[in-house]
Amino acid sequence: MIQGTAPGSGIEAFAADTGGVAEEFKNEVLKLNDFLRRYHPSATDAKHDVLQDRYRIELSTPLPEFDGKTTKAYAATDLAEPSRLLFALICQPGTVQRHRAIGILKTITHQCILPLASAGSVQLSRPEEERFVIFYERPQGKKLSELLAEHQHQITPHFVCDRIIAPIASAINQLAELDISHGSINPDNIYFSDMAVLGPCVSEPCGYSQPFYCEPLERMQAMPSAKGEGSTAQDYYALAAVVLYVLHGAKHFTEMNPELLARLILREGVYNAMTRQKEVPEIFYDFFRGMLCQNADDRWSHRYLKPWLEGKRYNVLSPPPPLEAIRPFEFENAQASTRRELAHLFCTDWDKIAESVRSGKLTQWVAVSLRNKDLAEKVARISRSVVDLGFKNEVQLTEQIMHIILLLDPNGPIRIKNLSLFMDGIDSLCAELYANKAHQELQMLAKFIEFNMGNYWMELQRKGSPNYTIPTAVNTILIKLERLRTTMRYSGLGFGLERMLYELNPEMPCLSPLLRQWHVLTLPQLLTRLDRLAPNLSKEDEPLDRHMAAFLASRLSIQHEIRLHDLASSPTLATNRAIIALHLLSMAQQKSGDMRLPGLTHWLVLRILPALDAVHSRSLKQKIKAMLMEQAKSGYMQLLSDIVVTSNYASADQTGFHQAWSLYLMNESRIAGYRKGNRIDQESARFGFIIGKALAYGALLLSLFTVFRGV
Amino acid sequence: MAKAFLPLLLVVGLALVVLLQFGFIFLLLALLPSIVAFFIDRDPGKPTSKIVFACNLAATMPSLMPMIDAGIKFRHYDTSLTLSNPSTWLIVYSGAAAGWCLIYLCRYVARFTVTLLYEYNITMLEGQQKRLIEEWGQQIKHPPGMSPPPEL
Repeated sequence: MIQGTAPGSGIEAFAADTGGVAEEFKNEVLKLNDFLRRYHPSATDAKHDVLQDRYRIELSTPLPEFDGKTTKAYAATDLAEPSRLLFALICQPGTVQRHRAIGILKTITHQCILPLASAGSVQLSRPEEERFVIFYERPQGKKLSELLAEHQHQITPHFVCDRIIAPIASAINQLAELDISHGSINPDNIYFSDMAVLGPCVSEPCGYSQPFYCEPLERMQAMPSAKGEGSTAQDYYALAAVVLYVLHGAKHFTEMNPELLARLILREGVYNAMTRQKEVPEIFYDFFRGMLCQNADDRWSHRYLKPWLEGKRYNVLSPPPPLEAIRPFEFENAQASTRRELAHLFCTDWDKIAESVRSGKLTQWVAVSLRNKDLAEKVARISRSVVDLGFKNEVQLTEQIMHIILLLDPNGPIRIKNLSLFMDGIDSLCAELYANKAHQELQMLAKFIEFNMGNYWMELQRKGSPNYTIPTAVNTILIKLERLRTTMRYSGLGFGLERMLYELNPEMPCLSPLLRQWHVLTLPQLLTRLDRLAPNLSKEDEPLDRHMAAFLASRLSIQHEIRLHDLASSPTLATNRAIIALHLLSMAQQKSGDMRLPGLTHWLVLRILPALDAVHSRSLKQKIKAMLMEQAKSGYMQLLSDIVVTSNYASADQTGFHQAWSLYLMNESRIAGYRKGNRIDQESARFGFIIGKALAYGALLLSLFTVFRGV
Repeated sequence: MAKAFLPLLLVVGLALVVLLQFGFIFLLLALLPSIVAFFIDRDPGKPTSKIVFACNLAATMPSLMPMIDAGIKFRHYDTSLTLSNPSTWLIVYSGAAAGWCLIYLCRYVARFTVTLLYEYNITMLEGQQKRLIEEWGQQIKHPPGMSPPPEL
């Protein structure tokens, strides 16, 4: 009756069940409902469609040319400076933005980076929702791709160098100094009036919408949402791709697809695959050979690019093609000649990899064809583990195969079953998988985190480069993962996949169906929203769904499963969602400072009342309910929690119930005993004899007395 | 107790033979209903025979006392007069009969009293059960998932 019933029904059932006194409570419940009906908390000061009282979104003027994969663009006005033309990118709920980059880009002004005016959550008027919105200054000129499509004449190398490469290189250098990457440098995101200006890049995970040909191979192999922040090395690579696009036109890449380009890069090297042996002006020889390097460390950065732009020539040699094995490795009717190519090939059919590993073919190929003794030993060790595991433990088997792929391609993404990710892309990948409801992949990601599988990747990075320093984004994610690992063991309310989502993405708003139309990021926001929602919530909603619980647990840093120890003697109460909600929300209210939330307290009391039917003692129940109703007026959930959660009434009730039960059974047996016919017969006979004996002995004594008196 | 009963009876019997002489025959004949009751009484502690014996003896005492008195004072007592007097036997056997009547009468009185007492107890207990149900609810009759208390 307590769980899974519609609110109110439990109360009515209670009222019907307990007669006269319950009528009194029915009145109290009516009073609570009446309070909620009349409750109108003070409205927010936030104006519709306006951020910080300054940036207004013109929802009637959409700007589809600035739309992103996960954003819609509208014209915007700076109320403090109306002449300034802006556009607003309205983000979809549940998507991830680059908050660190937003924070940095808001503070900088660079002539070749589109100025980011502001960002934050805005209450929209249409739809009536709160969304995260990013305000950019509207770029002048056209998109580079549109300009090239319109332009009929040959573009001179000097024009490319002075108006495209130099400004973009300067912008990338500025970003490198700020320790962020752009991740979205492509012909559709470069605006051109008199020089190139980089377009927006913070409304989605780094490289999410980047065309495949503008990404280095390892990022191309990763899932779009799991590329991670990377570094500006990828931006320089993208710059080279843009220059190829400018020189050869859009057709240069239209005949390619990601798989074809990846195979070409793996076979022929990046330079050959990207230039496709096409003639380029001599001036760009050094540029492409320097920029189109597979290894990010060897790739040109501003250090080489600036002197080159100033006229210095390096006579860079064409990068050598990848080192090939003596004999190719055959896998699923395809051949791989390099270890990297084999790693790529393996990922086309994950289930067949174990077979190749178990058969020893791979160890032999690495030892004989690649002639890499060190690698062969490592592969042989893992192969033995795979053989020992057999088909028993799928998670461990998957991990071992992941190790093999990482050994073959240590610079590539971490590939594990259907996932292909970089460590610093785990957070955005999790959000994307959650949004797409990809539960199988999410479970795999959860296992990856729980079993600390990323540790092997870290080891390989450290061994691969003695001077390896952990990038800021990777370091941040490692701290998050360390913290998350302890919580992954639990699956109860406040944990599980939802907890993983909020721990990995602290800027992710609460995705609870109740709060979906608001951008709730903090505990005070959540409490305020729930308080305002209280009048509409009382009859239909769960007091605490998994999203809200996980969000609260994450913000309250709860590391162990939520157990209400004081209610342990009554499992029905201890597991009741309304009571757990009260516990969590009271903690949130305490953490949020002095907030009075009468709507929320009344709603919670209404939800808790049916749950109290689990208390056996009627008088205790009456007392608790009366106290709850009294404290609901205060607006402080801690006071309710003190009554329901932390006082030890549950164990007292349980002990009392046991004693009462024993007494009831004893009385039952005594009544049955009294009603037994033969017992009455026996007892009356026994008692009859006692009376008889007493009278007979009395008569004897009287006779003796009389006789002795006579004598 | 039962072992000591027979030697004690023998000693008392011998003492009475010495004391009463022919009066002992009167005593045996007078207590005949008690002897019969002793043998037919199957109840533990033989309460029926005790009642019959007490009543029988109470009725015998007026006739027996002069014999005991003569025996103590070493005087001769003519027992035949007592034995031949029908009223003596009427009183003696009426006493035994009164003992039997007392048994049946007391049983009815006791039954009435016990029934009254039990009904009172039942009413009290049922009142307590009702209060328990009011306080702890109907589930006290069959608490879900609970094993009976060990003391029961």
